[in-house]
Amino acid sequence: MISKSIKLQNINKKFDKTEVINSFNLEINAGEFITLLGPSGCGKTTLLRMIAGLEHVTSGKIFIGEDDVTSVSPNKRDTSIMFQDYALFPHMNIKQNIGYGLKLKKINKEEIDKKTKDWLQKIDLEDYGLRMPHEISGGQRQRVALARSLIVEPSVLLLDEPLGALDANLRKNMQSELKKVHSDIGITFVYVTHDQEEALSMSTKIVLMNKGKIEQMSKPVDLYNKPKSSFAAKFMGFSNIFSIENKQELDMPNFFKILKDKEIGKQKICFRSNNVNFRIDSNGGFKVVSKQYFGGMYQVEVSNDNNVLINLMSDESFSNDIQINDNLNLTIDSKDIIFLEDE
Amino acid sequence: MPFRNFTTSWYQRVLTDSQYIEGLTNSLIVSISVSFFATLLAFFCAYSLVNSNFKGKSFLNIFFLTPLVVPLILIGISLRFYLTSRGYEPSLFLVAIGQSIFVMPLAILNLSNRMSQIPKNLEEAAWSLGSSRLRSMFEIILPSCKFSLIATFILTFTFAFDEFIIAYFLTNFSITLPIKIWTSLVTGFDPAINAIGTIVFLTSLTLGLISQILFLKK
Repeated sequence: MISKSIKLQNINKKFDKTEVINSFNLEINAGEFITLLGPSGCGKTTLLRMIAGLEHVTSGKIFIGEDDVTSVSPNKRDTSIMFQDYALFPHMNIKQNIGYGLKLKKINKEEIDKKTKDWLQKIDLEDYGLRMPHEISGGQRQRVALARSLIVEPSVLLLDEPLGALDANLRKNMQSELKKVHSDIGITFVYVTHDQEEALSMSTKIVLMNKGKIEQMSKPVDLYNKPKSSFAAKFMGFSNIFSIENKQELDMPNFFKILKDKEIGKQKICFRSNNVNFRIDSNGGFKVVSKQYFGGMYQVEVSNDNNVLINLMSDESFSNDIQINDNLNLTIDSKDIIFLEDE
Repeated sequence: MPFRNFTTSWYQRVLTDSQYIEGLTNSLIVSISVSFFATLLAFFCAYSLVNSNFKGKSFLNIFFLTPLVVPLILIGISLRFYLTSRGYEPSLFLVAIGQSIFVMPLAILNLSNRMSQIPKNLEEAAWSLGSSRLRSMFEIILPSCKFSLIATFILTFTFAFDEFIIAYFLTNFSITLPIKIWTSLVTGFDPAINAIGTIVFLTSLTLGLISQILFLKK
């Protein structure tokens, strides 16, 4: 299959008067597995639908490969879309569903038959060809939808939260399956999800979106370890975000003492709850407020006289003995403190 | 009319009486054409009402339903005046037009109700696989509305079959069954009326039930 790049140039999208996408620019290289990540309502699905041609752009241009497809209808675009609820055609059996795209291309029957059989084999559903969509399980439907999308050999596969309806176990399996498919066929994948773990484990690049704009675009490792804004930090699971006066004066031994609950400084910083070391110390200055079990881990919330709330996360074996109202001493390695760029 | 002895002879009378047979044939021809035409047209109307968002859509939505609230006698009279002034002679063809207008709201309501239950992304998936709009309408939407289409066909048929007022205004010499029954009633007593009433009632009831069952299917 041929893989193509995607270029979004100054895209704006309004529904009635609400702005959903705002001067959006993005270049996606051919063969990339890119994830549009963000909370619901951030415009990620709208963006995907615009690439598919299912939604008009209010202004701006969309290129797939070299071609300007802004006003090309979805059936003439070199893309294929997969939906969260799979959208299998309920009145067609599995084989007809998979072969539908080929039938549209007026390919002869024997060829369609052969290719559908190949795909049924690839997705491990050889004996299911004559079943109807409602007669197979969610995970199987998912694979049928994937086969149906890929059989037409698109240059770009668009995936709209395709694993959202599956249970946790199946999700993990499908994640690695999708990743494998991507590296096997090498076409461009654009994947939409609100699940940061999914985004981290699958993509080559993540576009974190907020209110119709790009918040941060990074490799998964960088997004996880070096969020640039407090929005990104929150979204990537940093539960401790504070402001300090300025960057230079990180008085490390006294770091936790200078934190205030009010946003006193311009410089925002964050750190992960599992990077904070702590021990019971009656002069430690932090009191345990709550303790919650997370399966193998405890999340402990502590606060000090300044009403600074800090989240700690630690191993079960280590934090088992800690009780509410215990006094703790906290320390952190300066390399674990991340400076954010927003104000 | 009081019941005395049970007999089926009146049913035989009706089924051999050429006047009743003629009325019945006319009614069947008109009702079937009406329901065929109305169902087909309503399919397209419902499709565009459900699947597109254009200015004036809500107006059109209401406009399509107006025949429901206009008294039948007005539809009958106005169509008669209008169509005869355009040079059309009152005939079964005009009855078919009038009754189509009468049953259209019903057909559109039924079909758009079903169509709005079909997930939008079924068609979108088809487009993305290379299907044109026209093609997806016939290959994706139409099969999903199969039962509703049959149900709508039957329902509009029964409505047209029973309809009297519009038919009375729009035809002269070839008459439909309801008109024949009415004239028999006016011109004198004929026990065959009971028989035919029973036949019409049972047929309508059965067809009505079948269509309701079909609406429940998807």
